[in-house]
Amino acid sequence: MENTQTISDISKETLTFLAYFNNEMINKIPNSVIIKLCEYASDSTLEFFIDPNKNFENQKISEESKDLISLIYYNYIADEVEKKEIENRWNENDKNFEIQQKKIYNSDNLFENSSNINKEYTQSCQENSMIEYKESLLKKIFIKIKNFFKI
Amino acid sequence: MYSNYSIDQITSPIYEQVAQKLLSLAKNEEMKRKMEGILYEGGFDNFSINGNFAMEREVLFKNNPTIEASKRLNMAYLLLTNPKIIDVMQRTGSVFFHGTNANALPYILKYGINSLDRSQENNIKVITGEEFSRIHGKRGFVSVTDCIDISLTYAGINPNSKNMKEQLLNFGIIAGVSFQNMEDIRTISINSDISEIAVKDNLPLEHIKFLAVPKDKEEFVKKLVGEKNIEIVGMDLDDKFYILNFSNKLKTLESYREESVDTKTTSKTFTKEDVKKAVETRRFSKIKEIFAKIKKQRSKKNNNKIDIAERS
Repeated sequence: MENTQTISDISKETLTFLAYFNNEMINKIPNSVIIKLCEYASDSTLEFFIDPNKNFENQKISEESKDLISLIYYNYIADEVEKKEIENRWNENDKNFEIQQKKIYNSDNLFENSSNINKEYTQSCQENSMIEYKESLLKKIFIKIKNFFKI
Repeated sequence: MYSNYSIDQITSPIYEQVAQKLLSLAKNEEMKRKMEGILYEGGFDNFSINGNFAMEREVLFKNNPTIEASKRLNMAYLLLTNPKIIDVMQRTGSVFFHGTNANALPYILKYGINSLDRSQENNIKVITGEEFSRIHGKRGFVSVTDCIDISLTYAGINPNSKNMKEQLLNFGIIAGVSFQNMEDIRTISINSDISEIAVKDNLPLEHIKFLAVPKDKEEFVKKLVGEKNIEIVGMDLDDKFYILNFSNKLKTLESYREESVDTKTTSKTFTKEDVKKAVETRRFSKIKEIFAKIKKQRSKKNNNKIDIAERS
């Protein structure tokens, strides 16, 4: 799927997928919303398609379009109970995301990792220390023969 | 007289067999009367499948008895399966068709139908029918045809399309076109072996009188079109009848069942449960971002409107 950025492209992509919602969902979306999206979409230069072999969750849709579709679903299609559930999930997802981000970018972790790296480095140095080369008896004989005959 | 061709020039044993089979499937006497008119005279009441105006006569030069015969059988079948389309064709004089893909719809509803060259000048990427039929260099015209089977081959991508590498989907549409008011229309001569008119550069929106779309897309497209003076009619755009030869048309009619025509849909629909799963994976901060982006776009457009109003 193309990297969509402009509102025109997001609107067109959103419309493409809304068109494949069942009529029960489409009937709940106000005409004014669809018309507005269509207006924005008229300047998009991209084309979008559905993969008939995949469900909605696994379709190739840009993140912005997924967000816009979700906003439309929340505002017009979800009932009051669902809205509460969705709000809670969105907030939870935000919190989980922040926790993950903190783990990745925590400066304490940076230093902790660094000391581990040092330990590993020292260990590998010891393992890879100079390997003593011992000539085989056969090779010693061969060299002596070479020297004897000045080859 | 509705046609330049008499029934003797059109008819053949197989034509007669298909015609009789079609008539036997008519739902009522009124429909049967209209079908007889189409099949044996080329029209009924004040409606001709070849139109009544100068523009339509241009295609008559490319018409021949075989094309005419095929057209009459197809129109009679269209009346059988989609009487609403024949009704709007009769009311608006829209006897021409332009087949395209739903991707083009937002643009068409704002600017009309652009030629391939005009689209590409405006940076619109075109991968549907018009691009397939570009053979040499320029294609600065919009093709409209009075043969519904030709427009159906241009009408978008479907899961059975052999032209696509991946079987991706966006529904096709047939625009019904009328040339009752021709002041803004220019045609160009093209060397074509199909029955088509080439409209120079752009076909304005006011000439589009109806959109035939898959039946399960009717509600959605009605919303898209809004208050514009364009009727939306449901049609099975994958119906092979229109492109079959006469023998196979007859075979199709022999197994025709009204209920199977009415329940045909595009092959994919997202359910509420399916959508909700994806909705629940989003983050509140990102939802706020997209909302802000749309709001900004709206205020930009409103400011432009104010500027234009002030300047004028």
